[in-house]
Amino acid sequence: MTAFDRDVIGEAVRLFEGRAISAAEADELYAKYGSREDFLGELWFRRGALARSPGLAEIVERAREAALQRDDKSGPLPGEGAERAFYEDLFARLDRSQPTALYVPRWSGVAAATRCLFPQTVPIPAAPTRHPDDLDAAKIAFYADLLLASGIRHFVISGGDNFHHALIRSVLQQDSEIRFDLVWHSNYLQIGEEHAGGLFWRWLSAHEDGLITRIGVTKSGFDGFLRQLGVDAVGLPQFVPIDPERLGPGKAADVAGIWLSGSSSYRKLPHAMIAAVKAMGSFYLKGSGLGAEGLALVSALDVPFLQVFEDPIPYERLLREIPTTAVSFYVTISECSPMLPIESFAQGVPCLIGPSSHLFRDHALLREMLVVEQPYNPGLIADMGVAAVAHRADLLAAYSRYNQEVEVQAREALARFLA
Amino acid sequence: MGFPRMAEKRGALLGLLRRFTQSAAPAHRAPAGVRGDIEVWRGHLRSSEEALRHLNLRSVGLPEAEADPELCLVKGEVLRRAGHDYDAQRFLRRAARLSPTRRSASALALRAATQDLGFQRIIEEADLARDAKEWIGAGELYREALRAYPDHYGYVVQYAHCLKEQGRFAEAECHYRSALALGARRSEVDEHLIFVATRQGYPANFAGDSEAPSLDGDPLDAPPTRADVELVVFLLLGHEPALAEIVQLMRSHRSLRSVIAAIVEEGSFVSANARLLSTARFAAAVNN
Repeated sequence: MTAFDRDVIGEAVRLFEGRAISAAEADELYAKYGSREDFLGELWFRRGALARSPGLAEIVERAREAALQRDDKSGPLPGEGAERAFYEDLFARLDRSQPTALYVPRWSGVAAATRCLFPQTVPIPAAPTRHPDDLDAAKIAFYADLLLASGIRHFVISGGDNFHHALIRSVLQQDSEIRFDLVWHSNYLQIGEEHAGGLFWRWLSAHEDGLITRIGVTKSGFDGFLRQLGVDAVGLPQFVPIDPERLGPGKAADVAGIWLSGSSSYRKLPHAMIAAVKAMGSFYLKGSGLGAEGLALVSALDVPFLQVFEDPIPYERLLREIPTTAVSFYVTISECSPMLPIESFAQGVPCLIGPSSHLFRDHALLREMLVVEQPYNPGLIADMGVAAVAHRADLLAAYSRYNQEVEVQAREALARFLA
Repeated sequence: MGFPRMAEKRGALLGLLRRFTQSAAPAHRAPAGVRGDIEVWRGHLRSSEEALRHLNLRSVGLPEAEADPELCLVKGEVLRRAGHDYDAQRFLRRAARLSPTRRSASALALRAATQDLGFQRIIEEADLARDAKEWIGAGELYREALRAYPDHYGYVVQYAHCLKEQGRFAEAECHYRSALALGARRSEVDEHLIFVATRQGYPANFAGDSEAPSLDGDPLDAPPTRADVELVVFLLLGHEPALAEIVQLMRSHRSLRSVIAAIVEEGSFVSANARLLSTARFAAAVNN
């Protein structure tokens, strides 16, 4: 299929409208809509193919929005200044009297956590395709101008990349009364990593220099550690809002999901979890971000699977995939406050976790059934996975109450942090 | 493999004759509608061959003007019994392409193919080549046969076998997966699919649908065939997908809807459709 012709038209109508058309009708459509793009518009919008598929319509709309946010100079959409227009539209809808969190959309976990915790958020850069380390001085000045023009007086940097330091300095040079805080999403182990460790020490210096006022941390207990260093720090529990009325187990009863972001080669290893699926007997695996080694293990162990991806999948897709499983495995060896388990629960799927985070520690049932104390033990993960599926309804009910309590704690902590 | 020259001429003459003896407008439907038409043509099937040879064929129309697959098929069957093999073939092949979904097209193709002498001739040659382990020749013949009935899963499997024997594992995998999407039994395909997937380094197992997709369900909910993937990639992105891309999409998605969603989300959909997405009617349509 290399050219737009009557065959493409006929097959496309059959696909989206569930009917065959005559050659004459195909020719007529070809004459009327001479290009693929025009015909797609006719098929999807005028003839209602998207209206009949609301899920697909939402995905297309998100793609359009992402295009608006993208920062390509050529611009995915016609016209210059698509990014400026995006920010003007976004800031016009914000309350300038409220603190506003800035996050990097490329870091999907941090981005999701930020959007859940803060009422007002702004992505910088605008799209996940742009790596923050690629921003040059001119671009940073552009963002500084945007922040200054917004009239907002209190910003929270959520994540804390290198370019944020230049951004803060640029803003403060022009208006020293604007307040900046930081939310730090890493944990103790990451201080030993070259990149994360370097960033951490740099932010401590920034606090010492008065560039930032307060540091919020997501790792439970890390705030106490920082306070001992003389840093004004507050612990911020993470949560994903859920609707208790709609929270219930899905149809899938024999599928385990392992969804990794590829953010660590040593803290989040999939091997024991993959082996656990094999040990679960009649269960199938769905997973992403498993890496080449993970896929090789799936093959070597002959693990039954539905879908496995070497690379991580986009966030939107992740949220669609999770409900097609019965249980998630996120049994890692070092975490601060992992988002995947609470996103999984928000989709109605219980999630097993490793022993290193505070999640579920203060809830007897959730702790006993979901926290795998030996994260390298596939047999234990398998047994707990099977049990979690068998008790899904109980776990979801318990989690719903637990999450409400966490949400209250998070709101209170946020108020202290922003005060 | 071509068709007998005489048959071509005869068919062309019959087509010419009909153009002179009927209006250019689509064939007139009996008041009772298509169902009534089908019954009328089915009635001819109960006639003797001698009576059929004297049947007035002016009302048969042209296959290109047909819209109903069953009526088109029955006309093909009548023409076949009346000895008009070439015209029968045109109606039979057209019928399989009129189905609203690929799965129903597949069912229709299985039925039509048994009446299609031209197709049967190719298959006989293909089977002989296959039995002689002449995999390249057999593959070419099965591929030619599939041009007539691309949704005939039985021969999609045979073609895949030929590709497998030539070591063309990725192509074979696409066709095995297509055959499953079209209704082939897992028990007849799985062993081969696992073999070709494994030889490409893909994990050796997979779990598929335990139930065949519905014949009359939403086409978007059906598992994707290779042709489906080629269609949606071209329609959404404007280019022909590479084999590796086709394989990856077929491995990763259990429905065509999911393939489309993935292309929109992950591919170059936005830049390929910048004009479309920027139009006002887009926003209006989505919001509505």
